[in-house]
Amino acid sequence: MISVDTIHAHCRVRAAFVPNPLEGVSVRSKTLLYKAALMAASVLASVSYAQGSSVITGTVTDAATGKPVPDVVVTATSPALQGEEVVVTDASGTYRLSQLPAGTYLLKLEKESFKLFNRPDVAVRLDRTVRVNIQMLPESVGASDVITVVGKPPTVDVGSTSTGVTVGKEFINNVPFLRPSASGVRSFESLAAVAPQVAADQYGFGFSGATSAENQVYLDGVSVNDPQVGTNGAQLPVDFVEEANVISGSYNAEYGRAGGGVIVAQTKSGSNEFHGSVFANYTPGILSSAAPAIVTVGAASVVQSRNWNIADFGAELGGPILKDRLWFYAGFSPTFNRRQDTRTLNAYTVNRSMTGVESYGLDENGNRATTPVPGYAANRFDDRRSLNYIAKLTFLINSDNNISLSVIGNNENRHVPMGGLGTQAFTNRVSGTSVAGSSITTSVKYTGGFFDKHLLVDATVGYFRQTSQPNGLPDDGSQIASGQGSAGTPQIILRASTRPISLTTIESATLPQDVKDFCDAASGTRLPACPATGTGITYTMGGYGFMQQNTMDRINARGAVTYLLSAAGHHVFKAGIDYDYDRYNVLKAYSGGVLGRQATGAGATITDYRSYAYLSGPDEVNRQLSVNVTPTTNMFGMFLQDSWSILDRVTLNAGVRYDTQQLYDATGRLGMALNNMWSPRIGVIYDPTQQGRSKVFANFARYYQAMPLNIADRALSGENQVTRVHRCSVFPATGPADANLLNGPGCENYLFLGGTSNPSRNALVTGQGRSPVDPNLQAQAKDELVLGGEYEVIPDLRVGVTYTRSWMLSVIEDMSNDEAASYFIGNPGTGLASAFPKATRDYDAVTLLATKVMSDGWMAQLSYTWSYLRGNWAGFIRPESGQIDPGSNSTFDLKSLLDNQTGPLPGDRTHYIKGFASKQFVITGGLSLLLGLTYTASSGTPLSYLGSHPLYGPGEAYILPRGAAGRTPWIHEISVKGGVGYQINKDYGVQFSVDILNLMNFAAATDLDENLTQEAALPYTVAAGQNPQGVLCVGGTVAAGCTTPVSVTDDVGHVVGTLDPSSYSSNFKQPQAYQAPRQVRFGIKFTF
Amino acid sequence: MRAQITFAFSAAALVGGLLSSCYVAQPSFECFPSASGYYGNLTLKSSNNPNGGGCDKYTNDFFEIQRYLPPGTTNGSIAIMSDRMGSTTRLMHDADGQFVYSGTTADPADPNHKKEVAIGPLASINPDEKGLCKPNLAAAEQTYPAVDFRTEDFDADGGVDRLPAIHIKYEYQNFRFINTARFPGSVFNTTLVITENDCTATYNVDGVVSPVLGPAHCSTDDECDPNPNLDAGRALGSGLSADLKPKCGPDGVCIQSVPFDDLLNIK
Repeated sequence: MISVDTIHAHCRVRAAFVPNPLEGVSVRSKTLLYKAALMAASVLASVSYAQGSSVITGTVTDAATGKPVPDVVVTATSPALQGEEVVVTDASGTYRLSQLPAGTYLLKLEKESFKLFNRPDVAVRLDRTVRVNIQMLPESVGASDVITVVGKPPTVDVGSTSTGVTVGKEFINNVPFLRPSASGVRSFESLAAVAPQVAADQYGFGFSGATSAENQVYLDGVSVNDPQVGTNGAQLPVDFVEEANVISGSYNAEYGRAGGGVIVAQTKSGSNEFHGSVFANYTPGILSSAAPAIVTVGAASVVQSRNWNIADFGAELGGPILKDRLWFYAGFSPTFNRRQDTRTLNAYTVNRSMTGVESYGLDENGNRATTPVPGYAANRFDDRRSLNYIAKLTFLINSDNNISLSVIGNNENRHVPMGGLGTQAFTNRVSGTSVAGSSITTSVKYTGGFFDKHLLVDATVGYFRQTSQPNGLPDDGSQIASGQGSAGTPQIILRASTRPISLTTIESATLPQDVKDFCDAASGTRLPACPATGTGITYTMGGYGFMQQNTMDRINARGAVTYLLSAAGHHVFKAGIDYDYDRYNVLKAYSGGVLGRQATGAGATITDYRSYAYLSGPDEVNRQLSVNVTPTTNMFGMFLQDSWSILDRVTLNAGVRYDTQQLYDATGRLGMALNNMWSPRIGVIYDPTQQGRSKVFANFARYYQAMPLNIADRALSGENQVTRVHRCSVFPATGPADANLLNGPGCENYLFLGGTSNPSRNALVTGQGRSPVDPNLQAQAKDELVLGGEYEVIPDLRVGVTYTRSWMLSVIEDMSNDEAASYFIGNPGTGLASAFPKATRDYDAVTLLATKVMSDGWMAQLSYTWSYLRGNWAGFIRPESGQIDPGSNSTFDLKSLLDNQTGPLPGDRTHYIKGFASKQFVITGGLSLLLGLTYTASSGTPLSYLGSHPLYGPGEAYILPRGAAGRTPWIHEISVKGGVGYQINKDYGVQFSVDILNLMNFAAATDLDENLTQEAALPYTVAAGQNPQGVLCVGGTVAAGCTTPVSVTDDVGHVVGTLDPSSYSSNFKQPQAYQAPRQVRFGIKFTF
Repeated sequence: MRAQITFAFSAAALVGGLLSSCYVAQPSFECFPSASGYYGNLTLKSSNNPNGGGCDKYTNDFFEIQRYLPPGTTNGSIAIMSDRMGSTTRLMHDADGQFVYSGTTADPADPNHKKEVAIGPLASINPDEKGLCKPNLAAAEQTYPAVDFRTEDFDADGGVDRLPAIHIKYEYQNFRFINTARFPGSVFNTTLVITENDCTATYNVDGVVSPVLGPAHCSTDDECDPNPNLDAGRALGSGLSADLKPKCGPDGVCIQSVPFDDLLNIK
């Protein structure tokens, strides 16, 4: 007797051979040549090309007896698969189709004396395992020869404890969530935004409380992380992506070197039919809203930016070169992003006292009173372009061995002119900015099967090259170290405060006469009404300043062997090795060899604020127009893991990974060694249904992180600089060429700069030498525990809950045991740094996730995450200042920086809701409508009261415990998509779409100024029951004359009084950034 | 099956052993002095001045050390300058020791001040097995003739004073500084022979790295605590490593309490 439940709890089964309850099983006649098929499967199989990481597994049993059926030929076919993939069930009736590309499969099962069995619509996502158990009917049961089950196979990944989501082509096409990058590319890394426990930070997407520089990103199997700082280094339009697996936690031992998440993107491949598309997208500026201006209270010059237009177009094509043997896929897509910057000016009110003393007037809030300069608005365009491309060949060597070659690239450039429209300049410098960057990823991937595919081999060799100019280069064509043009002219930062320099003087050649008239008339005094300098105001003039050109290379080799073994259940052993060689060549320079900085006050001296140089003896200064260094690193890893399936009910995933890394400094000497990185990973999965429809799981993992090469450049190589001070007889303030005075005879070296104990009379040395490394240094590691469960409540709809807890085992930072006199690299809390507190980053999160996979024209994904991220170390990025020096951020530099640092970290978002849905309506045969909807909401991030530190300056001291200043506001965003699709015939279709991102144009602030005061205020311990705001005399009604108990120190750290609320910055808690404004994107896509 | 398991465990143990042997030690340190300067505690050992109060009267000094390692060189050289010597040669003082004039006066025999600092090569860019760096320093020596200068009242009475001629020499014997994980160039020791005209005195000098804001002044040992003490109104630690067991020295500046040679035993 066969019941519906025994085949599948939710199958709709059409049957003609047995009446009720198996109605719905269709039958057609077919001659079965079972033995021939079995031979074909076991010897030659059929022509197949499988090159992926997905798995379909299950058990085949006799529907009549319930016993396992061995030697069943299981054939998988899919549009995603070239040819077929064939396996045979073993003695326990188990089959396993490995190395499959993600896609939707048809399974055909054949065995002598059993009826043919077809199971279509088996959807498997990238890197996932689905279980499809099947009962075959003996031929004796009925008259029909073929059973086709059209019900819904389960979609729960029963083989893995990994958390995260897989984003496929339909999701990308149907759901409005993709914001283009700065250069206008709708790039693959943005897909990470879909996953729960993932949030954007300044440089990308942070996973599970970690920063974006701690992820591992793979493109066609090749690591594409930026070798310098660890962020994502590649761009690729999503149009060329088959599927991306966004793993936020619990990943297997085969993945290493990450402390955040893992993004695995697989590009499209060609097949035996020609397919492709031509597409274009356009975001007109006229329909885009401008973000509110970021205004510093009382600023003299304000620059506001708005989108002018964003556009991309492209084409892709895939097909056979030799049918069943060699396929190609290729695509290209240029993108454009134009932004308009508008500069306006404010004139100050100048007061003169009875005694002739002049001062700037204040408004009722204590800020400088300003009047907009009428009729002045200088505009310029900030243009970015990129060209993205992919080319891929797939070659089937024979039925079990194939190889693919892919080349993925991106070239981009940006141009920001110096002058605006007409002759109005934004500042008084020699040139504007030109930025070029590129990335290219080359991957050769081999996949093979041996011993009836019980032994599987995957090997990838990749080469990744990335070039970047983080600060851009002069747009006048002058080259680093050439001594010509903008690159050959020093830059000077003007700061004179007691006698501010007027804009009308310094921009005399470019400011319109009416502006000069207004500014001069408004003042008529010695204090300029339109100052370029003054307290808190600086003006940069002269040459280009700091220039940097990075060329980074990575050779990446990975190999893995998978062995299937039946012993006390089913084992899938996987062992592999991987190797990375990273090289970071950086050419850096200050234009004209020096960045000068004027003194405040009267501004009588100019300091060589930055200048690459070394001393060969006392006062023997050897200036270097540029510095070119190439630190490198070797990373070697290996892993062994076993996925042990016991009675189809329990799966035990146990693995261990070993990594080692050496970093070499600019001269090729060993700078740091990270040893013995043993990473255990163990997970247990239990499927109560035994049908692949549910799982409960637990997983523990230790992740060791690789150190990017930035630390080998900046901390391990040293950065020789020499400072001198000039007294310039000719004041450099009328034009950019004046900056060259710094190198001329008019500016004499200040004698006895270093005082009486400096071996050199007029040269100070900084940045020399390399930071020593604690001999007992431990590599950086994170531990993670994940518990969860998932259940398919109705076909294609599963709900799940996960609890994640992670904490840092060890952290690498640079520190000083003697308050900045010397630095070393170690692990806070241990070894040389035992006097420092342990670095902590504790993360707890509960995620509820409901996923409706695409069927019946609609899909949806809804998640809610509650999380709590706290500690004293944010990660490879220091979000408060945007510093990204992995392993050498300022966080732990000094013991005196650490008071009050423990608290909710900047990435802490208590609530995060993400909802995505789409629905296709078929109007007529070929005409369909598409609707997509995205809603995201997140609660605010913590804010702190920051003051100045006596040594490290503003923004480095936590006056009250971290997070005491409240939070940024909630951020909501609703985006919608509408589309009309017309299928012209079987092969051709066209779709028009409109994406409206941030439909309601919500404009919540995402970042607020946390600098309460510029005073050096001591961290204060709030007593139990004490109101933190009351301590600082802020918030609510503050009594006149309110005083704070917070101590203020002088420049050497000695208490000189208490913090006066009158010193508070007017800009405190003022917005520094807003959420992205509304954009309307029109798209057209022709597919064939 | 048992054989397979045994083999698997044996293989795992072998791989584990091999990998553990891949251990790479951290790189050795370089001889690199601190850029912050050093407070030197001077202890008189001998003097040729029976009356005292001359070049044998000093109890402290401030020193700065620079390392020179131009590209293409391997070992580098070290220069050290005493604040007291620099004050004598770079600033001019009247007979009462008051600053009166700064200028570019030079030793006629050394117009480019080449011998104003003690300088010499490092034997190796790396410390020896004890963690010591031992440059061989030539003495710093300057001879200035007597100088006439205008007094503050020159405009009124045309008064002129005369600075007497001076010969000053600083000779650093057995100079060594430590470059280990615990003491990254942060302490030095030397026998310093000071000559001022006819007076010669020999001192033991223990130099300890100075906080970047200058030597840590103190009146009690608590004020030399390496950690900040907000309750005591100190936002910063003393700037001396805890391994030095800093204490308040006789001149009201924090100094080490651990003898120099004992520091070498702290790993």
